[in-house]
Amino acid sequence: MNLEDLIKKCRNNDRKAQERLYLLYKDALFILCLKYCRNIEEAEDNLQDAFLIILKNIKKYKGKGSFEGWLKRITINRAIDRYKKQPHNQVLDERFPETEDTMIEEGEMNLSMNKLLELIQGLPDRYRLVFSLYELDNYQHSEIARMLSISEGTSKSNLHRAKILLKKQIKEQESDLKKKSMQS
Amino acid sequence: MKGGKKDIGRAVKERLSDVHLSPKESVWDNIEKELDKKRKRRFLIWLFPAAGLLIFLAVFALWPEEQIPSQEGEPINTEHISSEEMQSIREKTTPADSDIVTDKDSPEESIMADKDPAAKNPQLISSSENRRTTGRSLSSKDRNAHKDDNSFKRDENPDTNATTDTQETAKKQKLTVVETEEKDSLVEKTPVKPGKKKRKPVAKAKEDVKKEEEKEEKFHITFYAAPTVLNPLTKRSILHENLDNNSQQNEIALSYGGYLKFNLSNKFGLRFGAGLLNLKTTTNNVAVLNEGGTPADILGLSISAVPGRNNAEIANFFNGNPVDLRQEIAYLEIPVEFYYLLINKKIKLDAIGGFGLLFLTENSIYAEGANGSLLLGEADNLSKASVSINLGVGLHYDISERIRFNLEPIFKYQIKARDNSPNTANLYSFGIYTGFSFKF
Repeated sequence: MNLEDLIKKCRNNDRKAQERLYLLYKDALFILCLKYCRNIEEAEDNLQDAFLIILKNIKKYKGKGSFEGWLKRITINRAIDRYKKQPHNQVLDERFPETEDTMIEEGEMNLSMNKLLELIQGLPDRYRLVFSLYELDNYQHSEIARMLSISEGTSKSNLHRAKILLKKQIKEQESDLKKKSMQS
Repeated sequence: MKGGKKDIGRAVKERLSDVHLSPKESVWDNIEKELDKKRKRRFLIWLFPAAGLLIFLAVFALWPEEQIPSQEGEPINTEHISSEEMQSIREKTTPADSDIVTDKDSPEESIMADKDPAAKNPQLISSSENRRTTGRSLSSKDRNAHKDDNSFKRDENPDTNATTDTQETAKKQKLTVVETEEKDSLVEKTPVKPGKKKRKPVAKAKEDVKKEEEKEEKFHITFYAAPTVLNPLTKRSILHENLDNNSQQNEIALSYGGYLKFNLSNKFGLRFGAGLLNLKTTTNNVAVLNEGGTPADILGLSISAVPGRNNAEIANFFNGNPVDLRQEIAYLEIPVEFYYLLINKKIKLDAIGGFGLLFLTENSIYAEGANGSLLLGEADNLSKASVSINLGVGLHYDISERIRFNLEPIFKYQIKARDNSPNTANLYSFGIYTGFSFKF
């Protein structure tokens, strides 16, 4: 069955087709959720909510543009809504000086992928959202500003701050790893 | 060995490009459960009226003919019945009567039974068809009631049993027993003229029975639920004339409430109550006129925005794409309606007319797009209070002496429902009001 047929069947609320669609995209969308959420549990919740929105609105997908892109947009928007709705985690309009270096030696990135994901998830919501949108999913600052209801300047400074925090944490993790390996 | 320097963002992206992780299997189970819930919700809207209708049809189909008061309830005036008819009644009623006789312990009753040749005849007693039909119409409770009744002696006469059976099914024992007591003695004494049939006394008794019935139900308390649909015959928008060419989806909503009904005469009555009239409509593919601003600016419609909502958030939601606008409207309704009984048979039919006072309790507009659903605000063009003209018919069926099933298709046309928008479609609704009445 090709994708068009699958979408058509999902539009008709065919449960088997809906499950097949889920199986087809669950991993890609789950990784996306992991990058935007605070932990695995919230990522799974986000995936569940996003898929319900997708299945409810699949009639609105008119076949223009990439279907996967459409799925990803909904999943990201759902994650943004999740953290925007929580007042104490709202993205704040603030600026930081862009002085500190955000470059890293290639050899310093020896962390496991799971550990790296954990570090991203540990960033404050406002930094994690901007970092993931800009660095991992190629959104422009103007788009991020509109999505998060902040200014472009704030988006840039939040990204910079996110990178500094991430670099600091990666270095700490790397030095811990080195100490452990030297001890052993 | 260390390589060159890289921006941390790029380094992280490259590192995560090979990541392969799967969610727990329970995620799909939860999605499936939520999808089922939505289906059930849609199904429940129809369940109540459908179940009501099903019960109604089942009762109608299974109701035994012998117990239908309007057909069998009339007392038989034996004075005016020909000998052939009398014989026919004997044949039809004797087995059941014999059945009753055998239940009695009183010697007096046994003697009475002995006098009756039909009661002695075992073939007649086991005549299955008549036993089934007539026997069912006399419950054991009824039989016990008759034990202490002097008139019961007379019941053992097959002729008079026919009379008392039908009387019981008409549930008007007092009225008819007195009559038949007189008639029974006449059956023995007065020769019956063949072919002479006078029906006037029967009609009179029937009228008396009806009067008795009508006296019983002075007022009713009714509860209803109704699938209601807004403007089912109109393609125009209630929001703005510019949206008249957009397709409209008038969804079915569930309304509910209750009322008191007073019988002012045998045929005429008044009812009033309170309920919630829910209405839903969706206007598809509403174009975005401006990229930013309030919902009213973006869509060019009269919408009061939700207080405190960030305009950037709204603009981000639209993202320049057309959306579907879903309107959810609810009124607290106080109907005052008159009814006139058109058909008074097993199924009663009323004509219903009146008005309703409507107070707007919900007025919400949601935008639905690829990003989900967003509450935009309220439509500016709906009046806080309005009046509706209500017209319809009511079908009623008495399930028991105290409980009545109602099925009422009612059309409600609203007057003064809109403020400052003379060119938009007016509001009217159609609903099938289904429920039960309790008579007092």
